[in-house]
Amino acid sequence: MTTEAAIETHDLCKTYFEGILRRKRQEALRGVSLRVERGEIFGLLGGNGAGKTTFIKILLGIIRRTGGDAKLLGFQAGDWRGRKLIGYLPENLRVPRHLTGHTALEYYGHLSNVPTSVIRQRRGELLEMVGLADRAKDPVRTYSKGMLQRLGLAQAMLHEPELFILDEPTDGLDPLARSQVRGFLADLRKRGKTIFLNSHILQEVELICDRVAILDKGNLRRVANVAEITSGRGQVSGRVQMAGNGQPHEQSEELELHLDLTASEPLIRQTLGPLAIAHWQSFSASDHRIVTRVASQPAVDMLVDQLRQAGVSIVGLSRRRVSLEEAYLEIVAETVD
Amino acid sequence: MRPYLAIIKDSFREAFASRVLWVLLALITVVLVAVAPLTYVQKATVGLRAEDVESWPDLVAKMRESSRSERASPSKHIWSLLSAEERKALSEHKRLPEQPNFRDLREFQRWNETAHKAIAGVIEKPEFYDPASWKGVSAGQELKQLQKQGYEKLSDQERQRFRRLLFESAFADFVAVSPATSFQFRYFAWDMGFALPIRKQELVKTLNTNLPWLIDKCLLSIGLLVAILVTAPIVPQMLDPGSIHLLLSKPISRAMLYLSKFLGGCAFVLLCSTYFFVGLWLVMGVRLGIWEPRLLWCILIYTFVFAVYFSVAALAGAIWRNTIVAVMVAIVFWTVCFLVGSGKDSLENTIRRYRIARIVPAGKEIVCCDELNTFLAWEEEERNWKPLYSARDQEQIRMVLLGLPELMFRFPQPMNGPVYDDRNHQIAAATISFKALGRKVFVSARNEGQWKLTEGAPPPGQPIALLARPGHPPVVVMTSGIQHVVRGLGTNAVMLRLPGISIPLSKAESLANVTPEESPFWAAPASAALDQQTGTLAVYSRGTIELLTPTGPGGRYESLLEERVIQDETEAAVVALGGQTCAVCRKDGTIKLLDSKTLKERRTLTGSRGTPPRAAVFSPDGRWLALLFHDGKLAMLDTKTDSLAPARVGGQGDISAIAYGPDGHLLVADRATRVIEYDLAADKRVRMLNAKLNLSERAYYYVIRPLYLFLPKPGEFYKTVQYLLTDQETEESSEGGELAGAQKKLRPWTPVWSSLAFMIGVLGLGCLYIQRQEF
Repeated sequence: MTTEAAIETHDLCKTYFEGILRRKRQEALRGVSLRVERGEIFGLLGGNGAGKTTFIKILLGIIRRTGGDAKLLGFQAGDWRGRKLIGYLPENLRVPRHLTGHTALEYYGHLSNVPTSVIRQRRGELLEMVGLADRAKDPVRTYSKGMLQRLGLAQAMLHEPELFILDEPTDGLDPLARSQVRGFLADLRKRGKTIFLNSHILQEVELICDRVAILDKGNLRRVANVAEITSGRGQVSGRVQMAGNGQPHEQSEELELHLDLTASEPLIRQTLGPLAIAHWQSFSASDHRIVTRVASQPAVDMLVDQLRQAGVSIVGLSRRRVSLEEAYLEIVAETVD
Repeated sequence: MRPYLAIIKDSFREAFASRVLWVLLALITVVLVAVAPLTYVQKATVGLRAEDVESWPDLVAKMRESSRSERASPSKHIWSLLSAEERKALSEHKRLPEQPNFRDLREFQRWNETAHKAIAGVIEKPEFYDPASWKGVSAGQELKQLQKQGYEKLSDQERQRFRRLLFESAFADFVAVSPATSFQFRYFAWDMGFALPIRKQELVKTLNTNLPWLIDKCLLSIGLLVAILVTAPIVPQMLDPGSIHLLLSKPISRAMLYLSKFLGGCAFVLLCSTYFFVGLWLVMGVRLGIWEPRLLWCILIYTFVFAVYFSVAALAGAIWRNTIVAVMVAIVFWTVCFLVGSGKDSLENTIRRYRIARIVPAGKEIVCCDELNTFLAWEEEERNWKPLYSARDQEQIRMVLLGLPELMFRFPQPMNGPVYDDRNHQIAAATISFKALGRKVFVSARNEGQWKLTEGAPPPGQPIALLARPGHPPVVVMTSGIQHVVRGLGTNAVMLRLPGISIPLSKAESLANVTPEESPFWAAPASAALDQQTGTLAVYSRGTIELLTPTGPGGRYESLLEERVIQDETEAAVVALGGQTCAVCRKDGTIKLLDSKTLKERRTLTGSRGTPPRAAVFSPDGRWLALLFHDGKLAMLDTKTDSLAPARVGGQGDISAIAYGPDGHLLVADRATRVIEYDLAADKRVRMLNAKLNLSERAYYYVIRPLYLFLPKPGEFYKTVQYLLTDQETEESSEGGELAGAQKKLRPWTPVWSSLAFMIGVLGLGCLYIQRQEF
């Protein structure tokens, strides 16, 4: 069991058909292959209509796939044995209006086949954890959206599942609550649980996730470590080449360098030689800021040596970091081009 | 099971949390509180109701006549107490003409009402009792006791009773004897309507028969609509994206999730109906003294009725995910069921009135008789049955009877016969005549190029049966004798003219008396059968069978033996005699086979599952007994093996009449107006008189009935409740309560089975849909 990936899909496809007479095809997923290891926090990114929710629904068996294969903790997607091990928080959770915090947990707990005694034992602690302890006996119709979201998280944790699938978990939460959620997601990871979340708040994902996948119009664009994406490396033009195991191939990295140099412009240009200059900004006749790309760290070292030999003073040198949002936009924009 | 129980539990929680439940419970409380003050008191039967007097014209004529004499008499005294106007009105009574039209009848009715009002008014008056006038009246036990106490000492109530008893005794020939006490319904302190002179048993029976219908049609229709409005959102709400995705992610089956939600909706209604019926049961018990635990069945039955509607609302809710659509679909479904049910009822009720009830093979021809006792002759050219009337009023009455609403309609007492008298070439019968004021008269139909029907004189007694065998005179069996029909019966009767009415008198010339030396008395319930080969007669009366043979001087019958076959004297039975067998078909559907010589029981068989028999006819060779039951099923009994099997004929379940032709062919009437002649030995149809179907028959047979079979019958559950409360599976719908008369089978379990099958089908569809659907 433990050797099985938490989520593993292979060439997963989903096509929706609309209309009865004039059937319209809409491909929501086009051959998505992905592997989420146990114990990681994995984020699925994508714009509206990218296929994120479709992907989750297939995993949970709410809809059927039209092609490929999907496994959840070693079970076929939709298998009730797999569903038993999942804690799910849907987008826009609706809890029946007549329930209170307590009875809602009891109801959802029973649906997950948790005995009443266990529910009673756990619900206080859970509500405390999500910050609803003082509202536990109030009807949920008096809850705000954020409170409902927190209740949803509590019900997802009630039966101690192996894998959490959270659709927009921080949606509607205030900054403090978001930070709390990040806190207990980190806690869950420490306890060996896997978390698969789906979000469009990229700053959140950047802060929580170990790895992310970027979906765009049903295609998987990129699967990478968050650190890797935000390091500014690996921004190559062209499509991501996927290996059979759902991991991208090793790629030749390119580094973006920001150089503040003091020398005359012709001298600098001569020294840099054929190197492509992305940006040139002159502050005076001898003070210049240049943005360029080099193939690797040895190439950076070589460039520094060349500049120094030519008598160019290096006032500043930095390697650029990009935010996930920038990386995402760039990756998605690449595909548009 | 834990998840599914949780869903059902949640439904209860939801019900208790909803304001609608409390509003509904409050409404039910209001209804129960409104019913609670209803009670009854038993009080002495006083006053006079219109129906207590058999014939107002006769009573008034008697009073007028006696009032003219000098002697003091009750009549004179009553006449003197009437006002001048009342006397005038009562004296102005025109007699009914021989062939009255409806205006005459209406006037007659009005006059009757006036007479009742006037005379009932007199009985109310304290001066009604005047010792001198009532001197000669013979007193019954109750009256004597009151007399002993002395009129002056009696309470007001007792005086009124005393006056009623005096009136009854003085006019015993005209006034029905009343029970000492009557039921007076009371609401708080107010008396409601008249006191009903009935026994408590009858009251309970009336309540048990009518209460289910009343509750079903009045209260529960509204209740069910409210329940559907309340529960319709359950499924659409469950399918709301924010809710269904979470539910489907849980390790539960989709079909079971749907079914649990469905059961949860039913639970809500179970709460309300439990409260209502337990309340009603308590009110009936405490206030009316009728503790009827079977009433509590209604809780389950009406929850089930709701479940049928709800299954449709749930399916619509699952498909369209919209509460309003779900409610609309449920209402449309209810309307369709209601229209098909009531359309079927009204068409069936009309068709039932004119369906063939008797078949008479007359030589090569076939004449039939419908349930309204109208003779029908086959018109080959038009391929239809032509009704035969002896007078125009018969035609009018038939039209009125066919158009009468079901509530006001009763089938007329079935005729005796008809039989074919081959010696006089006539079809003879004894049937109720309007002209003879509801008494039976002989009728005769002859084929003189065309069939002609004539009404004759009344029989000289109360006829039990009119039987015939080829080559011999037909036999009229009456309560106090037997007559042979020796001449045509169609000669007009001599009319006895009395003030206001004229009554036809019996004439003996067409009949020959063959009554046994020792005059018999065969009281009702009675029936008779004739052995086609030997001419032996079997007469059943009040539980005993008497065998008689026409071997006496002048063809007189002689009694052979008499044997008690049924212990309960009030039970009616159909008898048949042929070969070695005398068959007694009982009301419970069992058939006693007796030896035709010794009347010793040979075997008892069960016919059509507890359904009463309608007719039993032996084949001319005496081997086969054709048995027709009131559920329209025909069975054949082989007397060689004493085995019973369904007859191999068409239209089983819809057969209304059977007869054997002299050649041994069986004639079967089915589908209201179709007669088929079968040669069962050769297993073939010999001929078919298939009347053209009219528009309503076509609508009934090709549209309404198939739809009705397919659709559930939630509007008929009152029949199930009625059956549970009364244990009665059929409803007698003809006068006289004879087994040969038309009966309506209630089929109490049909609504349950058909609705159950429909509901399972609809729920199955719902489960399949939820299982296959992507959310």
